[in-house]
Amino acid sequence: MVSTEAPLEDLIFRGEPDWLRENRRSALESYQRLPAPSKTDEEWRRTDVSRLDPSAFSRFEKAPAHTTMATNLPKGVILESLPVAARDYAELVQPRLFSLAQAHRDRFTALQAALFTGGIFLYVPDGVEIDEPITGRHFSHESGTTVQPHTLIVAGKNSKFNYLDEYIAEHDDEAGYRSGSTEIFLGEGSQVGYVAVQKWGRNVWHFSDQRAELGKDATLRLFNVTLGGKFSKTRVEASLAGEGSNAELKAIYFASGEQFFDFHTLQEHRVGNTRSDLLFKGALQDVSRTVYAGLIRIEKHAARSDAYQANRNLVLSDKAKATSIPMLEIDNNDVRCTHGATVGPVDPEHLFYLRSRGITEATAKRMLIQGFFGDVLDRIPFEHARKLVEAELESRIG
Amino acid sequence: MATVPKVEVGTDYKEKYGFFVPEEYVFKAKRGLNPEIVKEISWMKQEPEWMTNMRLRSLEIFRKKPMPKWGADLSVIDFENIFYYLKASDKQSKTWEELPPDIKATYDRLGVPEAERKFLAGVSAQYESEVVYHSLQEDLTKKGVIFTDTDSALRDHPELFKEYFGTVIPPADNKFSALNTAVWSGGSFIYVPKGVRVDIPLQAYFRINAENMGQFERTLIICDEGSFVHYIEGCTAPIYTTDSLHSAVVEIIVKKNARCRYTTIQNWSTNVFNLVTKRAMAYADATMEWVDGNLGSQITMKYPSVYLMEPGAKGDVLSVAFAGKGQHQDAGGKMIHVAPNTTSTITSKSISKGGGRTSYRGHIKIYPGANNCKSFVKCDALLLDDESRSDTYPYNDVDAENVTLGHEATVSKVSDEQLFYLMSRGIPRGEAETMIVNGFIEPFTKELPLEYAVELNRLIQLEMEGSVG
Amino acid sequence: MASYRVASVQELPEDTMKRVDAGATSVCLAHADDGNFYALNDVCTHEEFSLSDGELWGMDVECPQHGSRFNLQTGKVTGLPAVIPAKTYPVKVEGSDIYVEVPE
Repeated sequence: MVSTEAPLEDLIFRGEPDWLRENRRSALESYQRLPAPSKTDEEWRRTDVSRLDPSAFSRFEKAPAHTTMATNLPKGVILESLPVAARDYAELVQPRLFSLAQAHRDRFTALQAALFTGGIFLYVPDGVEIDEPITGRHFSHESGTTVQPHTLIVAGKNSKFNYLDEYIAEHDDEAGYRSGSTEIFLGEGSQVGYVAVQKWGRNVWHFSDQRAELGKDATLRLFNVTLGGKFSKTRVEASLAGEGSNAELKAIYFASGEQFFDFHTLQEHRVGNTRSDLLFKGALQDVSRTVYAGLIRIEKHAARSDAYQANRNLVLSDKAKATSIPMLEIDNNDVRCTHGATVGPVDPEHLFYLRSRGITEATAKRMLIQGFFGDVLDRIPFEHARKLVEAELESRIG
Repeated sequence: MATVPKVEVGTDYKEKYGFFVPEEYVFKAKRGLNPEIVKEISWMKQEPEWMTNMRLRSLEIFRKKPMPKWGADLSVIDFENIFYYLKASDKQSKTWEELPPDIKATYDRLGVPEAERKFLAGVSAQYESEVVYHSLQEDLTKKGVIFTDTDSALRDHPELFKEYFGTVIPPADNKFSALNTAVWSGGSFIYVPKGVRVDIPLQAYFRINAENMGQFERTLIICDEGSFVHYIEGCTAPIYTTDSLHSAVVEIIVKKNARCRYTTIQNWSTNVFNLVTKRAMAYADATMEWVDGNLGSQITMKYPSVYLMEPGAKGDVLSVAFAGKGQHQDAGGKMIHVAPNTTSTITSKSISKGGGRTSYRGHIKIYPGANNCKSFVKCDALLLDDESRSDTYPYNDVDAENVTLGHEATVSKVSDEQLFYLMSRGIPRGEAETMIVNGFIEPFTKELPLEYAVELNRLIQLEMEGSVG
Repeated sequence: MASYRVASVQELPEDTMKRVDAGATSVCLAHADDGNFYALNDVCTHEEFSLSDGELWGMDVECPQHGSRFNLQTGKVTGLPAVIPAKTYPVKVEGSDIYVEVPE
């Protein structure tokens, strides 16, 4: 573990190529220039960051990512720590890094671009298929620090693979500033399964942007799992830039105690004949709060787009609060576009049925929560991640 | 429009509603907005000091508040180029014959007197800033029903007025409620006593005639325990090349076991900005229904809301919006569940055509402790061509236990199958499309009194033919 | 309950109000035109703006942002859009010192 109070230049920037150091400085300037989010901004109206001062967590953990794979990588595949890749594969990294998750969007994206540490770069060349999933594991080790990993994935034409990012705290009660952002570029005809499992400490502030751009006939199956943090804000955004592209965006979240989770999603249909399918499902207990705000945008010439968006919330306590804002902006008439949101309790009839079979109330509730998540868990794009998520959920619901 | 329709297919808005008569005014304030104009309005109306002060304070609030950052683009409104007060007649009439001939001719042409004879219990007609005609069936007067213009209510029922005015929508609620409170004039004041049911609708007809006119009516409805009233408003204006502004505030109190239905057929010409705040409070087992049809105007921003204050209260919004070329209808509804065991529904149907834009914007809020509430929102949007746009912005906040909340929306075009079916039976394409649109908004039209339903279908037909404004 | 000295009588002429801190609680302290001092939680129950930035209207405080009104004595809502009453706190004046009691 590396943590130090040495100047940023020494700690983070050292050994990096000039272009990256320059980008970091410029992002840091954006961070200093951009105003703190205000309650009058719609995106931050229900999301209170007034008590957060990122500079309070000025010690950085370098958080080198651990990558694991069962078999050797096929020829041409690059799997490297992001700072190393920035040096050795600048022609692949430089044009893409923070081009989707842009630094000037708000203070927190600026901070990510300025001070990301560790992180992973994955490049899969044209036509390459990888059977075994690739796993990136990002660790935090102590309270009070900043940990900001970043993942950059480039999928070549007709490539096919699955990838899992895990964000893991050494101690469940850690406080601090955490992120975990991902940019995915899907080349023509590529098929990418991506899963992110966020289980940082329960007292951290967490910000992440997961943004993908899909080329012609590309397919993305993205699955987000949010479990950790006292405050977690995640944006999941897919830009359908090539005809025939298809994005499936799914998520589960389980909020308990005093946790606050915020999700912002975007299904951006920039061209026609594109498809997106979003389902975010969450359960809330204790005094937790969640905010879901998602937008389907169908641009003017994106005819024959098909978009679906749903947010389902299971509220398990009278003190929990759920907000759901599913939005549509449709600029073309030749589309199929549907969305829905629900907020509701455990179905009393189901509960009654299980109780009448002699099952205790606690067990019955657990079964109903598992049932609630069941259909979406089936959509986790690969077995390895599915087992991991199921086990994680089991231990938290139990 | 409050009439058995005389509209023939192909007759356009201009002929039916868009005409204007030469301006002749008893009093016309200068253009622009400043404390002197506000004081002048108050002085003309011989108001008590507290109202003058409230107006002046509201003007200050209006000046301080920023324009909304969301919704339609309102930056084109030039507040200094508007006439805030126009008095067209020096007295209010009890019969149509007493009205100045121009004004009478206007309402005759719109069919209002005929409608009154046929199916209304009371009529209020506002021309520019003031209500010029008022009537209420005698038996209702005897039962203690008050139906008058809001200025008269301030004079004649000062206590009732002061108890409720501005308590549902305070001046500071939003920029346009502040503007309305500063320069309000006219509007309806209704009080329905305990247990009294007004079975036949009351109608108010709002007419703008002058160019660059600002109409700021203020309506206050109080339904006492166990009472019922159905209030209908219609609005039209001539077509000018420059803009007019209509910014009303409507406050409604529905007490225990009472029911209020408020129906709007908004058919302003396409040079009118229509920025309206409407809010009701519903108490124990009371029902508030907003039936809100928006066809006209250049921009409408209007989200009728119900505060469900006590257990058993029920709120409904049924909304139809039609946006043609150059129009933006930003409409919807809000349901604020304050008490447990309250229910609400919002049904929105919107149609965009010829580059028009419809936006549904809604808010469902369930406060802590408002347990066992149910709320359901359904939005359907129909896009008639690929130039048009539809948005859906539903905000749902649930802070209580055992709440069931659902929201569903779809956006689609006229289905090829339906069109094919109708056309294969020899119905021309245009007519077939109109039939499909009328079918699409049927849940709305079936809630209207028959005469209005027929009229609405004709209006849709006009819009579909693209001959409107 | 814990009692905090929050202001002196001189700081707060009649018909004015002021934001003060009683421990960790932000309080809107008002000197009403009935001559008495009142204390309410400063955070409007509607959208969390600061009541002490608003205006006093007799026995009502009005939120600056959306015009919600609360009765100084009871905290009851006297005007929408707020619907949840404001918390009120006991006020004591000893000599020229004003004390507010808030839950610990």
